Amino acid sequence: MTGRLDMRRLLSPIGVERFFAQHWQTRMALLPLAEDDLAFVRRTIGPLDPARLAGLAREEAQAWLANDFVAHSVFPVDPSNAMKFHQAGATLYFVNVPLPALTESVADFLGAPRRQVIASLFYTPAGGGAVPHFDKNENFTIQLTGAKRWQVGEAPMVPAAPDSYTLGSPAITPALAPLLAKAQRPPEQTVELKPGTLFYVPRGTVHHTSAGEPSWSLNLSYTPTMWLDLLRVGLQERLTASPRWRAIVTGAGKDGAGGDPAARNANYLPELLAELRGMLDDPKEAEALTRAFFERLDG
Amino acid sequence: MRLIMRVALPPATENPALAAPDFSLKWQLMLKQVGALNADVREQGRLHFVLLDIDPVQITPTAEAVFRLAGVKPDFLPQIVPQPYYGVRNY
Repeated sequence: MTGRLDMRRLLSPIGVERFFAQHWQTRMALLPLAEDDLAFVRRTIGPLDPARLAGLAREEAQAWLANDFVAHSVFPVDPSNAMKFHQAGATLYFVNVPLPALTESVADFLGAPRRQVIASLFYTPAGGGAVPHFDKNENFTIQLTGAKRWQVGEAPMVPAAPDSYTLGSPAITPALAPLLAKAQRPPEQTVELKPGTLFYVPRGTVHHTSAGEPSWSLNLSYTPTMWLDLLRVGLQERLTASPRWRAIVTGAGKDGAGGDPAARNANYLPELLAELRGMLDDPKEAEALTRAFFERLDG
Repeated sequence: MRLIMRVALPPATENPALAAPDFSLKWQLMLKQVGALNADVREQGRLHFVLLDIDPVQITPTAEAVFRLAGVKPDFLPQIVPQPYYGVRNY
């Protein structure tokens, strides 16, 4: 053990090549963890103390409560009340706990910006769980203590889902709406997670969970950097620096509404497109465009 | 902690208990029993927002009181208090 997670070793039961060929972004994968890998993860996280983790969570700590009398409610949690919410039967969710020894290993293995991979912890009471939903993140879950039953779609309901969604909810983002309209919910499999299992669930895959006993689990999630983001950020940065690209659109209306003939003469979009083609055809320029994305996020 | 309990009451046709002449009285009594600090009503009495200052373990018993009376599950929202503003003028 080198002080980092060895993702190649973690995925060795199926093999890294097979993971990328058959599972990555398309299909769940369930893997047993070696005892010393689980011990390393546990040691890296430290004590599973709700108050401590509520203090560490960089984004926020939440309590989710839903039962026979309470409709699903989300409460902000702090170190002073985390344990009280657990006693009240809530699931505690500690979002973005700084665990670089784990998150950076995953990011570096995937060739992803390090800041896009975060670690979060779930403390689920007996009888707790999550309703059917899918995430916009690629999720690696490690069951730490207790047990949790997952029901997981055999394939993503929305491949490469741009946003998360709780099934049945009227809250649908504009980016998701057209994809959801033609989506079908694939059949599900039941997976029992026990301590020492690593479970990969691709984004867009419907899953719901239930814990028969108190359960702690670690979620290493990669908020995807889409290929379109990789170019968008660099292009935006590069083109914004140019007065010609920042200039006002003139004489470019559609359907003959291009304005006065003199205004149409001021339309130099064809020249800009030629400049763009040249930029994308030049390997050095293209590499510089993508580098801007990584430098912005990890700088 | 301070929370807002949101109760969406169904039409009285769906729950006859809500049409009972003493429902309003019972509702007020229930609010008193759960320690409501304030209550606001919107949409002609359909939506009730109740301000509470309760311990997390009291959330479910409070919701149960609502459920027993009105037959609906309330949800809870954290109370959001604006940050203090220390502007020097026009305030």
